[in-house]
Amino acid sequence: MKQDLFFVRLKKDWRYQTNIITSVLDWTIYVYAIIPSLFFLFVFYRSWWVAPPEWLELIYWTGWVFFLCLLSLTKRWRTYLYEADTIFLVRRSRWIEGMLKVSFYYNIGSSLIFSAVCLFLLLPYLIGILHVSVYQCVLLFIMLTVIRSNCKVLLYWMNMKYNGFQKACFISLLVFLMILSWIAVIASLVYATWMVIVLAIFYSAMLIYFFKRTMLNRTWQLSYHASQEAEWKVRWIRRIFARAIDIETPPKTKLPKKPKLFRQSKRIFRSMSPTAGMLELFFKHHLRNRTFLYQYLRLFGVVTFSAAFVSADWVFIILVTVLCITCITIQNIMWELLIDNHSIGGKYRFYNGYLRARKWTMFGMLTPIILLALAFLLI
Amino acid sequence: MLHVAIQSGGYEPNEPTIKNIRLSVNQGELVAMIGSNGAGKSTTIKALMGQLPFLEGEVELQKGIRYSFIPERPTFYEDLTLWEHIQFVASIEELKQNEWEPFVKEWLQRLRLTDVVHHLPGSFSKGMQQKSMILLGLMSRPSLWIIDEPFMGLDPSATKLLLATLEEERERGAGILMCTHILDTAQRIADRFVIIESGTLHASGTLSEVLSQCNVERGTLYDCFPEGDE
Repeated sequence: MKQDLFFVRLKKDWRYQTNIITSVLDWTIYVYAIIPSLFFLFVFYRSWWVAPPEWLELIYWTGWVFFLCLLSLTKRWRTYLYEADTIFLVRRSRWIEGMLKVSFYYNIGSSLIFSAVCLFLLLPYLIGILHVSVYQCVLLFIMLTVIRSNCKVLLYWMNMKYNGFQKACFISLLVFLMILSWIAVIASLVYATWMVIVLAIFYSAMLIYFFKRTMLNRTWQLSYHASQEAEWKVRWIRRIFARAIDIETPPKTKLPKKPKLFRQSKRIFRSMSPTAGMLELFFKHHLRNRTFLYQYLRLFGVVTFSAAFVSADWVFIILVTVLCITCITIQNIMWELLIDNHSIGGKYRFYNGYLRARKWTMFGMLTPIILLALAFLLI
Repeated sequence: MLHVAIQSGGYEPNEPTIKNIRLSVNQGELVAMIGSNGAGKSTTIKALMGQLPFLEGEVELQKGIRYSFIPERPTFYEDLTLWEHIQFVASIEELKQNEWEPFVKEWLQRLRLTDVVHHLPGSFSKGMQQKSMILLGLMSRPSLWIIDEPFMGLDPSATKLLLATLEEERERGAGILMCTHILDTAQRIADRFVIIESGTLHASGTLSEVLSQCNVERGTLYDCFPEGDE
């Protein structure tokens, strides 16, 4: 019965998420973007099997380690326990435990599928360039699954137990440990395969220990599970809303009382001019909301990562131009969300202070990018 | 102060949500815009605020006047504290610190928001959010208020305070356009009424004019709506 409930919810969630995504895709996107992209991806991938391209040899295996390490942190532990369960299931602790148990196997299973897909995509590189054996591929697959599941459960646990600075410290430690683990995994694949089995046993034991300690038999944490699910359930909606500036953003499910930075409303700028007021809003919005910083970091990370692997100057110039255009677009969307389409800021959209602040932020963002790019080209 | 003559308007081209809406707000006047759920009140407000994607018609706001808008669901900058919102409005409106600070502190006390001034308004209750919006609106000393469903979710004391504030603002000479479902209150405080039904203007004028247009001369505003519609 608990299994049924879990899988009914799983099915409903899949349908819900699919409907959200398909609601923003019309036939033009399918015809002009998705189908051609899939076709060319298939053609390229097939060609890598036939003859691995030379540039693949330029990429160090440590680059893939870093990439896979980051991928391990992308998903969340799912329980499919909802807010309504805090009312209707709260007296049936066995049901909740049952749901949590099924969710354990589900999360391991989803990690397995994810690892299989990752490995399948990496196979031309592993076999064609690194000359890894099938046995080593299987070991890598096991390690990928175990580490990914561990990351998910540890992040979930940290989120439940810690806040603010402590959480940031633990997450940094986790990322560091993951990087070390990955290096150990790859090293063990190349030199001594027995180490992989030891690490897999160690990580699996850790996973079961953490799961038993933090989730099972702890039905009082039901509201935490429910809030996590509520937040994760609307992730696609949030992404779509963040890009659709003409619709109102749905409210957040969990809001802190006070901001972490500038807790006593301390000002960044002493001046109280309209431009300073706008800049104050812009900077505090960025500094206090990590999602925007992550967005920029991701963008700069991708460009830097790509720039490190290209030798031709003209490709580098194209990359920097794309970066500049994307930064301008993100900043324009940001200003429109903050002022043009906001019920407080909307009436100031034609004020000189606003237009000046927009110019300043644009200038402040593009100047260092262009200067750094020029320095890179000259050196 | 505000003259509106909308021929049609909506969210999609050629699919108008509102049609043939005319209304005006004069100095020191409270105009109540009423109608059923989904009648087009909030869409009309969006049209006035310039936030409707497709609009045919005119929205004429007297030149140089300041206005304040309180939406149905108070929307704040989720990363700014209440005090930072206040400072933001003060800096954009170029208010003098020795004038706005005592004014704000007095109102913060009156609205019982002093203790939460360094908190994020997103974490406030609906009533506190509404009061915060009123405070931000009051700061710019507007000549026109546009308020969408101001009484929704307010407790009795907050409702009383809002009504008193609206009365003070009206006495100061500000015009008020208020969108509401609370017909008893609207009937008690409004000077004129605009009834919107199915996206079009159903009736407008003083209470007696509106009732006569609805053919219920001896009734109340409730009688302008068919039973079970709300």
